[in-house]
Amino acid sequence: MIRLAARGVLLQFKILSQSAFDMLNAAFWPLVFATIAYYLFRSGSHARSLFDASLGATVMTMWATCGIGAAFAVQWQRRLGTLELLVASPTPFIALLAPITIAYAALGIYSLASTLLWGRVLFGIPVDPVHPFLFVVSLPAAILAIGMLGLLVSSTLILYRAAGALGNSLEYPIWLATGLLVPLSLLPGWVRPISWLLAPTWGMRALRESALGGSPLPAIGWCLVTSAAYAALAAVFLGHFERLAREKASFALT
Amino acid sequence: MPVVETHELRRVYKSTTGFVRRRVKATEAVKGVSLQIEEGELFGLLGPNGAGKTTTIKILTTLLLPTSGSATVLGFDVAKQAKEVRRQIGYVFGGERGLYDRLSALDNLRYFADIYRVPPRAQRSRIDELLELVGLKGRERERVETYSRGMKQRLHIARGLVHDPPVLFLDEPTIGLDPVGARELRGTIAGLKDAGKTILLTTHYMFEADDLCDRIAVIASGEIVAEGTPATLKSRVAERHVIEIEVFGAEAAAIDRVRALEGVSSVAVEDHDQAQLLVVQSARGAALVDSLLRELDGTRIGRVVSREPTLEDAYVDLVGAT
Amino acid sequence: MNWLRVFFVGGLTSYRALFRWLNPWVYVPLMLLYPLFQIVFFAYVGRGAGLGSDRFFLIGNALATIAVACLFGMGQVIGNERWFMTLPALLSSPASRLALFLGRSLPTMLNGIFVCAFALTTGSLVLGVDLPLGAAGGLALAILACAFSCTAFGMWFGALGLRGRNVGILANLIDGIMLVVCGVNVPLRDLPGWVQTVANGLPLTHGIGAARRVVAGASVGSVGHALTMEVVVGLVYFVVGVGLLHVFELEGRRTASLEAF
Repeated sequence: MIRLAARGVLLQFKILSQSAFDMLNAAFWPLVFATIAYYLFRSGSHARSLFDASLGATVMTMWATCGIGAAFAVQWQRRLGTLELLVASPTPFIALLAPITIAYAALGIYSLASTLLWGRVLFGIPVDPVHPFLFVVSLPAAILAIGMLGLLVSSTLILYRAAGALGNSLEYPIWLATGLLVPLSLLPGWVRPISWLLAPTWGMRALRESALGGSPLPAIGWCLVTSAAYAALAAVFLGHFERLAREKASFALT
Repeated sequence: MPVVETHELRRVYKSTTGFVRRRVKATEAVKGVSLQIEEGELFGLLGPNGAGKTTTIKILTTLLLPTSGSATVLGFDVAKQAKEVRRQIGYVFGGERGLYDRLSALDNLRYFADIYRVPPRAQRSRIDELLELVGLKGRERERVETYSRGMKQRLHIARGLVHDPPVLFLDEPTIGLDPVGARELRGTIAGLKDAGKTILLTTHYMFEADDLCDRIAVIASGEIVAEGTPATLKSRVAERHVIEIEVFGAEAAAIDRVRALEGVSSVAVEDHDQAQLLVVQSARGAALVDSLLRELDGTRIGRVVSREPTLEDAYVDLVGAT
Repeated sequence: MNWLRVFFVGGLTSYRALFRWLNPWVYVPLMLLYPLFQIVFFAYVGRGAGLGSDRFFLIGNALATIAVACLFGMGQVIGNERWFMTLPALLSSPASRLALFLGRSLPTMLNGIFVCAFALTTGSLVLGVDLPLGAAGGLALAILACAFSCTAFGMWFGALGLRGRNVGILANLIDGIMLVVCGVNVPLRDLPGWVQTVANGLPLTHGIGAARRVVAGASVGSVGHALTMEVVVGLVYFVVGVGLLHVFELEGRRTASLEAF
């Protein structure tokens, strides 16, 4: 099953890497947010790390591309005509959808590379994580957690299509609530528990602590825990979807 | 024991119409279909569009649940034991969709091999064999979007076979193909039957069913109207005689008069641009040509052909009767 | 008379047909909530950095929503025309092309103005920013000017839509660039000199500057220059946009690419 998932991720990643639209989004948008953050952090009175800003912008983009990709994943398969074939296979649908959303999150590799390069070349921000090994480990952990949250979003949207735009509009609130460019301490207290439930919080924390110094291991652990929780919930939704599709023919598989 | 068996299969689609006052409309797409397919048979499900062929296949491939009735594949119930069924069947449908065009044929096959749990070690040789079988060897690394329609169709077949299933469901596999491509594909399908696969083929091409199938079931409006070997079906109309009359602008009243003639069992009208073709089936021996021409007096007439019935006529007769 | 009819009636009906955004499930989240969230987000980024000016980010991001609404709105108009196969019919009609496209731009501008006003109002409420009543006139003028210039810029994308399929990618890029350089979130003076020069040639820059000054207490007269510059920028983009439409349409007819879509 692991091998299947891994091969699936690589395959979907290959497809995405050939899409100009997705590549551009992954590589360009973090530069927009990072640049804004660089200037604001530099002129502000609170000392904020620019490297942190790079990471924040990367994770923001990871969530954005994954969220949008997840929203359209099923629709895209349907349009290709492959959705039917996937459902008709003996492999559970969740094991086929997860690699897609994880692949979208994995585009974050390009985001990170382009942001760090941009920061280094144009703003002289050095790339020297305090715990380099853990930093490298944090990235896949973040990708997994964000990808699985995307899976949950995708499995919910299959059932409630009208919620698509609503989900997209939650981009900024999620970026806020997960402390990507804004310290969580600034936000009202009730945001804190919400942040713990969201994957980008832990992905960001893992990257930040391994880059700037701290203990990233708990955050990496939480990435894995939330991934498992999202997967379990997604399985429930997808089971529901498949049942409805077969019984009522209500979710056109073609 | 039959490999594929259905018993009084029924499938109702409910759709809601109207916005303020919602009305539920129920359409019965499949109305009690019972059939049995033996091992190694190439069974044809023949019928016009909307007859219920695709619905039947979707039930058998576990994509749809029957509203009532039952169906089993290799003894596994399609509703309750879907996973077991899915492992043993291959599902191929016609058309250009159903493949990842940005990837190569090889990548597509590897992906489906993965999701059909083909052991990694067996994959390479299996995929090689399949590419050879469908004649795509040498082109497997090219992106599917560069393939012709025929090639895509052949790749579809390879994909359906990737886990070497004993049972294959082919839903209109030659649709949209040019005659040469379609003929090649039929050859491949015949080869699969020779290799011992059990195949259910749906089509609306009578000659295709005649050519390939061991047995045929004719389905129209959700019901099986006839079943048997191609020879048996043709014998239904063996006692018939067919007269084809080319007419230019025949009035409906004239056609009705022809229909009402004693001895005429059916009249089918085909529109061909300016002309129409009246295909009149009658009992053998009834010398009807004179009466027919009399009823069509006033209408301009072209060719008149008198011939033996074919499977197509049997089909029209069966399907037209519902 | 026909010109006016085409402008108003033609514009409105086709806009509605093509503008699928009017579905409330899409419109409210994307056009009303999303800009509000954007404002709150950047205000907090500013707070986190220790720059205590919610008002700065409110004005900047509220006016930036005009760009999104108008760039994408105009770009979509043509893109959707092609999608619904009505483009060839549209371009072959004898009515003045200009009237047709201007007709389409009025609803886009109105939408941009409405979205911005909504964002300003809700944003000021949520962040607790006081917008002085005396600034209303100046703000309205700034918003109008920006709506005009952004829509004119949007015409370029409408024209480019006649030529290629990937207008969306370009519009996306421009949107991002404008977010950085037009003074939306980063004060113009903090940016390198050459970037400021480029920014002054883009829509929004002058309008945002004027709006901020007016809200800070400046009189409308004192921001007259900035407002005029915004309109001038808009006019230049408009003229170029019309030219592009003309050129691409001719090219499209010559190379039969209009039918090829």
